[in-house]
Amino acid sequence: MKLNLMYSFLNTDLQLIEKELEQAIQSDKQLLQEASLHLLQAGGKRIRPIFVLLAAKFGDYNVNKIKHVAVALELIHMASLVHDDVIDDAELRRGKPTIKAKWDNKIAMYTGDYIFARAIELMTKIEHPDAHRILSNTLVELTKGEIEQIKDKFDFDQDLRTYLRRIKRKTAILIAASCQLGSIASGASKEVSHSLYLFGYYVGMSFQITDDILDFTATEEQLGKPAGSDLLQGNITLPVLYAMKDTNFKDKVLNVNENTHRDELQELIQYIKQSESIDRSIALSDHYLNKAFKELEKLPNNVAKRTLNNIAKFIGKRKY
Amino acid sequence: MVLVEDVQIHISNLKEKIQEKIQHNYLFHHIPYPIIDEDKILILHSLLEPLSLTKEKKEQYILSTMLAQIALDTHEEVHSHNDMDEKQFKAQQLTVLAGDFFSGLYFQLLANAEDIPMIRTLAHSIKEINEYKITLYQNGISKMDDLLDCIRNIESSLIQGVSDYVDEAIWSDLSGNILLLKRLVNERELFIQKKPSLLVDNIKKLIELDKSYKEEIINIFDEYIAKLWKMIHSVLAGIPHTNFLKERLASFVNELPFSTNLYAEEG
Repeated sequence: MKLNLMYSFLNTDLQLIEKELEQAIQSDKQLLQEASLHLLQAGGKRIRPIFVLLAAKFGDYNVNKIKHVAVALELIHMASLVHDDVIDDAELRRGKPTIKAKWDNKIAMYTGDYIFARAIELMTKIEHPDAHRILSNTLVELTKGEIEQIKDKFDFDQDLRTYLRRIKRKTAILIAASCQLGSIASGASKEVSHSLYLFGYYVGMSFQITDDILDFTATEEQLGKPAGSDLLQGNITLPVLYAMKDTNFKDKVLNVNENTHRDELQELIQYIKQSESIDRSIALSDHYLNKAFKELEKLPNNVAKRTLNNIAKFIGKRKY
Repeated sequence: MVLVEDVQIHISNLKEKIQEKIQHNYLFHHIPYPIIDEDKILILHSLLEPLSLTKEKKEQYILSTMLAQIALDTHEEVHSHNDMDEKQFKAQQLTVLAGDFFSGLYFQLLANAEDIPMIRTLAHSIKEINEYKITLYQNGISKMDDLLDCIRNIESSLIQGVSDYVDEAIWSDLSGNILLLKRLVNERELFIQKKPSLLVDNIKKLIELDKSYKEEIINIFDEYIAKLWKMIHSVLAGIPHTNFLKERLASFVNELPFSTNLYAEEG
């Protein structure tokens, strides 16, 4: 089943979110308007709004209230992508020129800050102090995760714990917060909100591990970038950590640095693909996914629960 | 009676608290420590001090506004292109993230204080400031007064937001004028030292240049500085307990060659 068919019952609400997103970034400054729209039209899976809406189904679902959370979270995600493209010096995103490539870093920084502020401003329509506490903590942790990623680059001494903490901060907590905030804004019980938070967290961990596996196993066409890009950039991901148990591999990978050419990595990528490190990484991803399913079991039965279950399965099986 | 020394100590304490908040054990090994603008702390203190808010609330407003300001100032340090060596590029990456981190901190501070209206106020100001920054960066302004308004808003929208929120309209204009004055004094100096200045680039575009444009630009700066100085002093004269602020203002303009005239006009 295709991902978008799983939540087709949300289509009307997702269309509303799309309109609200467009409205949220309206500016009478032409360039800002153009840059923000450029980003919006590049699309995306809108996975965070989907999690917000589904989680809200466990409370008193009112799309006119929930939409503020859904839009704010997607805007935060968009703003962080604009800044990430400056950090990564990225020319393309989803096949389109990035804001920093089409204009420059300064315009990207101003646009990102503008969208980010707009997101927070929108979020204040939710008068629930916990929601702001959760979101602000998430944002601080998210940035700490990104700083750690830079700190840990080419650090081959890092262990599994460091990797897991990094992907928690980098990916899992924003998905977890999407689920938790959706349920809080709809007035769901604390127990339900907590289970949804944990569900989002486990799914997020599994999602990022799968992403890190696919960086080695998927094709350049599927990834939109050459395989092994993470390693080339110095990001030590789970398959590399597992593969380093082999001292032969470890000796070779220790030579990878900022000046390593893509071609020199081919042997290492082949080794990772053929070694058991991929299977071990899949096993850890599945472990998190199973924990996510267990959290779901605690929730009342409804269409949102079934959909979250299907989305989690999809994330576990995705090939790119 | 409020002693200048007491205000000075209070400002230093607030600065220390900001430093504690932005503390990070990795960032500042690679990027410069942010400049914490004590004049902005002083303006916030001066506008909030007479109000019947709790001490904690006043402190929250000052700290959160300054964190938002530091976030904006940090992002201002990001270069327009990435043509740089590895070390500089790493610093550039961390500068982007540091700004995001400081921005998260203002939100976190107010969220923990459960002050949703102030979160809204600061977020709205940040949004506006970035709109003005883009306009300035594009050299897209056609009148001198609009250009100065743009600078005024970039410098003071956060503090103006706070003063509007606490219903201190007098401080809204006053803070805008003080911070514009300070910026003009700094930009005048940059221009004399032949350093790059977005404001001067915009001014050059606005006036018809001839061989004596250097003198003309200095004249423009001096004319506006004198005008602002007069306006600020007439307003400050009606606000008690602002001696320290007046002293600080005097220090901005003391180095200017025409500063004696400013004091003379003031009488």
